Amino acid sequence: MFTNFFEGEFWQAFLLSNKFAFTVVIIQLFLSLVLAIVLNENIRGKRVLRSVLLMPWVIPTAVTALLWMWLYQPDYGVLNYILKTLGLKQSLWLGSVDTALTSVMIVAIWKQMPFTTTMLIAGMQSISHDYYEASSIDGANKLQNYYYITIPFLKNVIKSTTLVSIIENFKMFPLFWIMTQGGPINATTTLAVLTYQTSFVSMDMGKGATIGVLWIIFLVVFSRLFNSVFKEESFV
Amino acid sequence: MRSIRTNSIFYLIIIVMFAFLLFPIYWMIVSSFKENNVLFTLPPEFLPVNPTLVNYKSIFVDNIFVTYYKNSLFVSFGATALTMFVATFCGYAFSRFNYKLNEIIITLILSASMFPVVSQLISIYGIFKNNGLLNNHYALMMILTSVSLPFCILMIRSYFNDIPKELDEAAKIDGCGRMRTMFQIILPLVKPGLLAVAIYTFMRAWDDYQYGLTLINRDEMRTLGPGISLRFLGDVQFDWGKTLSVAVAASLPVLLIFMFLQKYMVSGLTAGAVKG
Repeated sequence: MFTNFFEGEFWQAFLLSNKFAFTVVIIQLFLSLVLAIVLNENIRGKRVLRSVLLMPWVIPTAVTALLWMWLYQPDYGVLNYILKTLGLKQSLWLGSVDTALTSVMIVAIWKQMPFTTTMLIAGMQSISHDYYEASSIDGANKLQNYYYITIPFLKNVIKSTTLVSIIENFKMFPLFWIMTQGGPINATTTLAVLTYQTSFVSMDMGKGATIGVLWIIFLVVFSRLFNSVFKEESFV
Repeated sequence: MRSIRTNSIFYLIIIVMFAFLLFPIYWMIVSSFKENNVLFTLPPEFLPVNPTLVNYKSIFVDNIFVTYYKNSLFVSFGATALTMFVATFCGYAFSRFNYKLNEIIITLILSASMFPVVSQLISIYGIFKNNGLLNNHYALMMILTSVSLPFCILMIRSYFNDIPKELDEAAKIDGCGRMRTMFQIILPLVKPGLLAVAIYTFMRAWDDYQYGLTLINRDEMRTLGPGISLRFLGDVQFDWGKTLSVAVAASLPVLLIFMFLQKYMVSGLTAGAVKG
């Protein structure tokens, strides 16, 4: 029974979900951190930038999927045109087994990054300026400031947003269902897609519910582990 | 003083990141003003040469999109009203009454929101089917309310927590009952919080895809998300001009909210997420 388990569609979908969720969250966190640090500096027009930033996040998910499908069009899409003018290799994006998952990842990052950045900026604003002043007097440079002051202070915000977005991305459904429907050849059949397909397309509710339960157990265990590894640290 | 080099790194990061974030939206809007034969020419026109409203006019020809729009408005406003009603009472209770079980109940409510939507749908679908609630906007409203409630309760609770309890006590001494204290004294003070709850719920409901897709299967009952993706992408021959103009129109309400009420939106989110 267990040999089947590791070869079957469940295991494959499980691995895909993990790959998707963790890649998206790690890249997203890194990019958001960089952007939040920059937007927290004395940059001209940062108020406008901070508010414009949220636009991808407010646009409905279904619309997001549609507009990226338009960008990804293999023959007359603008992304392939840009790649071509830059002299790079064009891609099939959603249409190819190799790139479909990556393409959806890019959309997920695009959609979620603004929110994470906003949260991080909110966290940064509660850091007192005195710390930066003190460390500058001690001769620290910008990068050291970020590394030794900003990031440690943000630990709790980073921790909670990371956990939430790992779970959110693990559950991600609309982008997959609109853009790829799990295809091509199951290349994007994550657990969410597999559960939905099993229970509402094949109408096998029992099997769907079973997959769902396994998946919830994993998420519960995971968030427990996550919380005990990254214990809430009170700083100062 | 910052060096020129650091500054130029900052601006470079901003330019690259904002190009990534904003170009897709720009491209959607620009493309929706082009005719289909222009859309499929290479090189693409980065600024439309002959902007046209043809696509937007075609939305109103078969009218189905207008129906989706009305359905979505109805369901979203309904869910918003219902959520505001329930969340206000819950948040007030969690903020003002010290029951032993408060923390446990809050944890339970929160873990319900972590539950995968698909798994929820399997049971909800069964219940709805047995009770004839499929294809019912009111039922969908109820489900969407339950989706945004957990976060909204926490959000409004943090606003209530910011208001000193002495105010309640003073009102009580002056002879106000619980209800009157809440409605006349406390609620006016948490108006920004109420607005934040309303905005959050409306946007969540407007964004809904999975619930609407599963619980409603009659075409004229569908909401926007499932409606446009099934209708416009189901066709073999994509009418991209129309699809994109529909996409722009579907983003309009949330973009308007975003433009005019952003202050409340962001403060609500950080109140719920960072403090909560």
